[in-house]
Amino acid sequence: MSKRSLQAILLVSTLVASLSASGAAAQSPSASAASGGPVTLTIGSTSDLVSPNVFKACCALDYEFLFLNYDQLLNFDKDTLAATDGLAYYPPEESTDGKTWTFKIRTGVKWSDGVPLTAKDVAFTFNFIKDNHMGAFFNYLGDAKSFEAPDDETFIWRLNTPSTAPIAPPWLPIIPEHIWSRFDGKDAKTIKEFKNIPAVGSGAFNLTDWKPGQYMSLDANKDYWGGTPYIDRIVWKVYDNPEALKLALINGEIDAAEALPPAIFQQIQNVSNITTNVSNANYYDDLAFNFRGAPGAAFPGSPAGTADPSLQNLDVRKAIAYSIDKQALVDRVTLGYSSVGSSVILPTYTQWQWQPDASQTIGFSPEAAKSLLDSAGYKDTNGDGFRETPNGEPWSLQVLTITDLTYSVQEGKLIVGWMNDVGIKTSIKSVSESKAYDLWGAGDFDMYVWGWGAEPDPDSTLQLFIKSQCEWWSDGCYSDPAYEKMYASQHTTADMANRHDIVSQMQQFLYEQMPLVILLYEKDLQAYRNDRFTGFTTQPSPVGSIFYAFGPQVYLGIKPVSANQETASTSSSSGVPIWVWIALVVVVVILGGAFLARRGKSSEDTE
Amino acid sequence: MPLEPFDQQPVPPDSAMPDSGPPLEEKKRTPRQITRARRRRSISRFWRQYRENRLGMVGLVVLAFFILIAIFAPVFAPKSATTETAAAANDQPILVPPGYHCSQILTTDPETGLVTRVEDCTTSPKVFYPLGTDGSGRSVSTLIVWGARISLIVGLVATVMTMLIGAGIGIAAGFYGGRVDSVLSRLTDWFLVIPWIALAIVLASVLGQSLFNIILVIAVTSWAVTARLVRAQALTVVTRPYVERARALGASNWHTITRHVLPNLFPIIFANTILTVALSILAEATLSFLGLGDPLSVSWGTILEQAQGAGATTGGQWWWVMPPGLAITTVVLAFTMCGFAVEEISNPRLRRR
Amino acid sequence: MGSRRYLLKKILQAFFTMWFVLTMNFFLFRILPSDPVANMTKAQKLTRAESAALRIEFGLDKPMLQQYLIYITHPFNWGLSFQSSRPVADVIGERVWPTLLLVGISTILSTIFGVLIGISSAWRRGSRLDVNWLVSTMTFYSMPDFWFGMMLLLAFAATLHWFPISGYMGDPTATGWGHIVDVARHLVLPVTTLTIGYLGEYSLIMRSSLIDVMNEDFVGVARAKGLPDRLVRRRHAVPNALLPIVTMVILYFGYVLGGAVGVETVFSYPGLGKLTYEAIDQQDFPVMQAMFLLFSAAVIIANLIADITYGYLDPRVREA
Repeated sequence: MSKRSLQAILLVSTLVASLSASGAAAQSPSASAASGGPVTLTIGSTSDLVSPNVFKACCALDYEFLFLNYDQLLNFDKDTLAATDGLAYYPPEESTDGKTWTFKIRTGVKWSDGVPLTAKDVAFTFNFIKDNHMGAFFNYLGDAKSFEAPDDETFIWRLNTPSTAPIAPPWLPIIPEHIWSRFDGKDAKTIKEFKNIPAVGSGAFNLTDWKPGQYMSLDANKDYWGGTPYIDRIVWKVYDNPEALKLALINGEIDAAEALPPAIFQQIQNVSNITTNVSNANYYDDLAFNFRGAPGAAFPGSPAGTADPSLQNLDVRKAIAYSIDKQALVDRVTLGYSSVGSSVILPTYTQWQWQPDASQTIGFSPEAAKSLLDSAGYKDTNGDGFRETPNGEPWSLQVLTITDLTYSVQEGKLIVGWMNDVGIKTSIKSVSESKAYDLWGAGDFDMYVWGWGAEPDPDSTLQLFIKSQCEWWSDGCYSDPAYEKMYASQHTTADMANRHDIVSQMQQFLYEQMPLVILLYEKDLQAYRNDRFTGFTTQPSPVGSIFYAFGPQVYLGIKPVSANQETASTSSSSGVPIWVWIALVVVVVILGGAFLARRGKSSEDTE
Repeated sequence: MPLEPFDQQPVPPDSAMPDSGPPLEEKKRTPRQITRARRRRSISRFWRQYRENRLGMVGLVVLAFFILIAIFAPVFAPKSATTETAAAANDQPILVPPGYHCSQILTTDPETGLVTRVEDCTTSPKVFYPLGTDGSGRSVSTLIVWGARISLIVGLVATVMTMLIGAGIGIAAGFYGGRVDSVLSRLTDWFLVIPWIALAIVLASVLGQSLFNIILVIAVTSWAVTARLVRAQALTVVTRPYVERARALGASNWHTITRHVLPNLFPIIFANTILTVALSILAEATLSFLGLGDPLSVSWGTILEQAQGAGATTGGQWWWVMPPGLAITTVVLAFTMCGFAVEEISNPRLRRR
Repeated sequence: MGSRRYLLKKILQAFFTMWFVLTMNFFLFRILPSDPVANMTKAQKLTRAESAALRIEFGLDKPMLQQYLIYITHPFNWGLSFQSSRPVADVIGERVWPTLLLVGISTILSTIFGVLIGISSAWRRGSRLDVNWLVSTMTFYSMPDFWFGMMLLLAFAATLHWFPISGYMGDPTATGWGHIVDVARHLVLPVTTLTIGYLGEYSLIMRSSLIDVMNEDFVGVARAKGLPDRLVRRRHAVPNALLPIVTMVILYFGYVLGGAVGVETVFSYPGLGKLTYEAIDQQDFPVMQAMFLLFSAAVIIANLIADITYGYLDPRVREA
């Protein structure tokens, strides 16, 4: 081997060695308390903040930020998600007609810029949302008449029709009047252009920095009325994909990770310095039926669509439901990390969810599916293995799945297989999410596999099935007069117990009438480094999420592990077996050796 | 195109298939018979030279091997074995390494909610999975065998389209010259300038994702390189004396192109075709990996896409990640070696002196 | 024609191509079937009135011709991203430097190694060494570059832990030497992947180019003159053979800038390739348009530089 190449090899190996060595010594920003720096909890996520502007909040991380940075009128109880004290004391005074609610606002609270918080800020917030029709929060106002603050401690909420909206609790942030009043009278666009950094709020933590696509950081509010946080700062780091997230957690770049997919979550289940948490997510996967364009389901003003007419028949929908093995979906698509679906309300919201009992449950039964189809007239008359319509005409359905959402494609494939097994000729079509939105808007599908998130108040989910949401949030423009009545009454009653009853009836109604089949309830998979932080609890309890901020309560309990440590990251994954690597290395060495030997012979470039 | 065939220079006229010289027998024959005899001799001479090229032969053998695997895929396992439904019906274990395995039982810890999968051989038989199973429980070896069909078919059909468009435009530009050449060259330039990935993603978005569409996408993003190459070569051929003579004698354009120009372009087109197949297979793999392929079919690229999405690389699930890539590399390498051999034979500038 | 006219002609051609490309790109997006505003509406729960306002804000309500004129007369006004409402220039700017680092270093390394291997291979054509190199470089050429990255990930993530396996930097607050080391460590694996991927290509081209040149008369003459092989190679053969390589490298740089999506995906590297992919996925018109503009410009400029360099190095071209 020539001297030159030897030198080159030495140089490269030194470089490699030094880089890896310096890396081992490099620290990530999450310092431990003992080192004297600020105690920073670094959480990794695959989603980013859309905007610190309160009125652009859309997605996961926005809500995390919102309800840490701002307070709510009433908080969600940490264990039950029922209403409890927030900026106002619970319970408020309720007038006999249920239309006027008077709240006492606590005193001594300050905004992060030092200005005192009063009931006037609360009234301002509600009026602002109402006057500017701020979409996401407007729904929590009920049929509001006015919001007043006659003095610094009193807030009055007046409604036109009675409702439980004031004690739902209303999930909206209280914003400072002295910052946002400049937008009084402006249009929605101008309001949404406000940068809002630093975001002046009264919450437990305060947004101080945001680098889009990289991280956002919130500093603790030392004077928080709910208690001083143990951690000084929270940093959310954005990762491209869940695999990178997992790696970051293992090698200590972050202290916690949220929203991990099951396949990746499984790989870190048994790592000693990582504690995992499984909670019910607020998302369900469903198979939704389309009712548009088919005779029989038409209501006045029903828009056109291409739904197969057979879907109007409840027996057909039931048969499809019977043909689906939901447990197999849970086991094989989500690797066990979800639960079998039933009602449209999620199990996360225990105080609202209704569950069918054993006699009511529609489980996996191909036999029941087949006999239902037979009795509905859908028999295989020509012996090709697939059923025809009662008129003897060829019958086929199509399931639409969304390519970008892996669960949609995987569940769709299995469902189509099962439907074919019971004799329904079904094909599958996979489109991009944007195309799916188009098809949904045009009513151009039979069924699709998609999902919905849900807010704590059941209204957001229940409204998916009313007429007025057709062509907006309704999946397939389902409508039923009995359901409309029930929806209206739960929306306008001020009696919690009454509302609870109606909501249960509605869930049962939907389960039996089946405008969609709830396939499974997803689970929220999170993990944190137990050698760095402790004191994690969940909301709600005992099964709940650590990092879903209904409010700051969970975060207030997190504290750093006091011991001073820097344990090297342990490899958790099984790793490639050693023999594979040995085999590869042997091959390379043989090839390399042979080649070098030859090279020595024809050395023309000894320089 | 992410990569280009590694010899882009036009080949000078001598590269044409050498005429076989005077016929060995002086028997009287029709012109067509003479031509056919010449062609046959050219082909057999070519084959003789090819046989001496070690790399080319290795490539050919490997290629034959994969084509056989693709054709005889049903012998290994039925097509239904590539579906998730079949894997669910057979309760096949998920993410197991190569070897004998039974079905898995899931237990959920009621307190922590953690799910453990354990193999239970008391109620299910041991099944041999030569390359383990993927995230849906499908046998990886089955996927590789059936994936060969998709990868090869897409590669070949896309190449045919690419060559038809590319060679067609290249010849037209070189032959007709003038305004036609100008317009076609601009068009070719645009397709060359635009980043192929971006164009592919846009097209996939517009056309939707299906097997045919991915073939179309590959052809649309690849033809320009061929066109440029063919045009350059056509330009040299078109100025040759016998072509001018043919035109002077009143031969139609079609006759001139098919009888005089095309045969001279044949060697470079042939070599380019083989290399284009290699690149098309790579292109399909890349597009599928990025999620632009047909989500409902199984190709080596989609296997890698699913593996990456499930974190198989960092999870150590090498049996899911290594085989598809090795398959792609081997097939593409085989085509490359064959193309390389063909180029060495047909391009006299590469011959030894 | 002299060198100045050659230069002028090439620059003019570049401008024309640029205009043509811009126009084609504009219409390319307009043929996309989906409505970007519709997508955002569903995701962000806007009211119907708000989405109508958005449409006006993005200029999507104006007739096509008017949109085109605005677009073509303000090529540098990239506007705001549909997705994040941040200036497109910012969105792209964040990713330019990481991409340049990745692509630049890989190009330099693969060129150097590719050329050296190609020379060594061509000069000993037919020998065992040549065959070994040929097979190796062809194998690299045949490997999907993203898969090679996955193999590196398998090695370095699942077993060894020498290098970080994703991202551009681990600590955004590091400065100075610490920052440089941090970025360098994150670059090792992606750069290795890209380098190996393109190495094969360059080496094969260099090899055939050199063989081509070696068969030319002047080499035979030099050898006949009694010059040692080493000198013949260094002074005569290689410089001539390098010509096509030079243009190739410059051209490739333009391509790879946008084409390293696979590698960027595998290593979660914040590059322009991934940005393009995401923008198209989210139908973020302004970002898409700017990216296409950028890449096309890069390739056109690269072509221009290549033509000029070629013209400079090879006087025959200029006098044509």
